[in-house]
Amino acid sequence: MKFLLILIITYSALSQDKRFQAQKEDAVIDYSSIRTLLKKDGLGEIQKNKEKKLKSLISAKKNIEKDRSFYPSKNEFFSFFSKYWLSKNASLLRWDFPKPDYGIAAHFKEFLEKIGLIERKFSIMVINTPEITHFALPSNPGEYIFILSLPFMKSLDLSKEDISLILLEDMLRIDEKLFVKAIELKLDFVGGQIKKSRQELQVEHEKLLKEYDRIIFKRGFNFGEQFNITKKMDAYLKPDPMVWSNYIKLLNKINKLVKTNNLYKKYNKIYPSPQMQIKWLSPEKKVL
Amino acid sequence: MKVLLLTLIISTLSMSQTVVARMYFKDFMGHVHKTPSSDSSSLTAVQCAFKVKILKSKDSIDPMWSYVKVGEDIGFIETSRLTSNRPNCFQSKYQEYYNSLNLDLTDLYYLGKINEQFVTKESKSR
Repeated sequence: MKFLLILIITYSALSQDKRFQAQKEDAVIDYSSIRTLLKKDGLGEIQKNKEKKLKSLISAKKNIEKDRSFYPSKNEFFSFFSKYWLSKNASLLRWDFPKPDYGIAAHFKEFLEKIGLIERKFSIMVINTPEITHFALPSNPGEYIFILSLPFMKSLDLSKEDISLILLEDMLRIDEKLFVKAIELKLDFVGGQIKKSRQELQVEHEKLLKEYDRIIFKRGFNFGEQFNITKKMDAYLKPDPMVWSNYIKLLNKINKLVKTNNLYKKYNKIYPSPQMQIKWLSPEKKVL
Repeated sequence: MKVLLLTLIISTLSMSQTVVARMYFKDFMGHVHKTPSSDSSSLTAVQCAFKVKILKSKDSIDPMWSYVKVGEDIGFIETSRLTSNRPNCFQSKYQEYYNSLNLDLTDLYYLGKINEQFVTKESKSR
């Protein structure tokens, strides 16, 4: 019995000693070499990339969730709303009709490039009514939406260069933010969080649609705004005397039309006035 | 009876179209046209992120247009308006704002037509 007890004690003491030894060995193992091995495998890098991707996905998802209760951003709002206004006025403006590509956009693109106005994205819609002769609607930054009346172009027998000159005037009006400045509504909601009920939002849409109507059909532009635009046109066209004189000829043509054709009697109210523009462009007479 | 069944199977097979790709409509709204022309009549309106099956056409068509199946309608959509990745659409991005517009069928029809009526270009440095 004593012998058996001694044997057990000796065995347990020996096995404890072995465990201590194993622990000591563990402590000696060089983990840094394993780390370098892992580095060589690129596993750490892969994990980092995965974590990065996951983080960006989570933040993108959060942004999407956030946007859902927001107004469209400043970079998207006007492009959308101008198209919405066009859809609401489709029957009045008669833009949904089969038409060939008149080559207006291609010419205007070249014209802009010639006068150094680059990276300007524009969309032209030809309408089949004299209700609006030509107009640029606000859009995203660096983008333009033009509407152009086919009866107006036909009445004046406009060349592609004439049309490009009209479009340039409209483009400058957008650059000067004349349309957006003329809106008599607070637009600070654009890009912000929606804090209104659906009914209130619908009232807001209606009000903005009416503002578009007021500016396009009634208000147009004032003499001061027209003077500035005409002077800007002068500066852009002066380097090419041919184009500059074509601009004067175009203004003369429009002036004659609006005075003789009842369909366009509203023109002077919207764009006052071709006659004044010619005067502003004419060289000042020196008084001796 | 067997002959009748065989004829039925053959005719069904010949009627089925080969799908060569699956894509998404990427613009805000648009239309599936009867012929490859934006002036042709609309078969159905499509919204952004609608799934579009690209079909193999027997006749050669203008590469500007794709021969497609949307739901039950088979027609044409401008190729530039399709994408292989799910687009980030205005409708879903600004869901609350979009829903408040309360668009009816006429609005949807015209909003789909607008981009087809535009001629779009961009001036670039020479």
